[in-house]
Amino acid sequence: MPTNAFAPSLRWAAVLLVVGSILALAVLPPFVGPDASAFIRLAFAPLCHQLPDRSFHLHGDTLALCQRCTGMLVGFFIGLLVTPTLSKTLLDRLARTHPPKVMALASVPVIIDWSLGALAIWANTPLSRSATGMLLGLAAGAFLSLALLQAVATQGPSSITAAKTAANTVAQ
Amino acid sequence: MKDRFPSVLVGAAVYAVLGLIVAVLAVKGGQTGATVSGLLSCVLMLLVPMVAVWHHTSTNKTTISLGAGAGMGALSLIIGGAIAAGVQKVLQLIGTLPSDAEMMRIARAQMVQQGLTAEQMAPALSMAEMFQGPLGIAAGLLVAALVGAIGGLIGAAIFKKGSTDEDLYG
Repeated sequence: MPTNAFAPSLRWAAVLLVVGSILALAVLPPFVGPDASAFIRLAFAPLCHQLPDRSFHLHGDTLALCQRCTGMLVGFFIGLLVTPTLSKTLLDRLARTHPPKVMALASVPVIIDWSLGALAIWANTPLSRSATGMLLGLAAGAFLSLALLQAVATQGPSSITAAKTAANTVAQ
Repeated sequence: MKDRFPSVLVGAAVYAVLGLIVAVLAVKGGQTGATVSGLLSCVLMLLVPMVAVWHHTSTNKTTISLGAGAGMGALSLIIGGAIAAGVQKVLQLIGTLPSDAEMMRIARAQMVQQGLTAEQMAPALSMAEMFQGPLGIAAGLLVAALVGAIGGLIGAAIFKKGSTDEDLYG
């Protein structure tokens, strides 16, 4: 029995907020002092190699994540944000897919881009690294967003409307 | 409710073993090893929570809530990370891996190679030194919990073994 019809949409907003905060932190180093910048970089270090020649530069300094990881995080955020605003038809289509297969497919470009680069067959570029990462992140964000919507749907139609309204408000 | 802990332990074991391989590759594998370990560390932190969720849903033919997935993911990285950190300390003590002081020398050499100035290197090195102590352990656990929770959320969203309602979005 639903006890709080709006709670699942708040959960979606909370996930979006956490992912958005991580993204903001990753972009922050060029805009803060050296101590804060070093602290943020070290916090992200277990996640990413942070190689300067494979990272985006802003204000002459690098972000805390490499181009591929930045692309993944941006794609994940966009997927989370945009999916609840999709039409019913598109959401139904997305729900009918087999998520593990779609995720495996979405990771193929990343694997090809990285492998060709590692084998020195093709030099990947900032665009290829970030775009392939973004595609994978987008798929993950879309499926997570869909699961959050489904969690709302199991609680009743009124909460679906509430969740979609919340999603549209954030998207605007 | 099926016991999720065995699957958390599977994820933790995968993370501990592969995490150690990545750590050894990073310091002993030269430039190629460092690049490969850089990629693997990122992939590992996202995949391991999904492995834990996948193992649980596949073994028990069940679908778990997103919250449960987040919890499983966070726990698997925290436990796996703690095991890997403990084994790394032992390997440092017996001289298989460089000591903390040696790691600082390696970090300094990498920064010089990357063209950082003395002013840029000072705060980075002092932070790196701080992160070798309790602050580093706390920060590492926090990052593991956060990233693990996100990986577990994604895992719970994509590995569903139960039936789905076709018309949920009216």
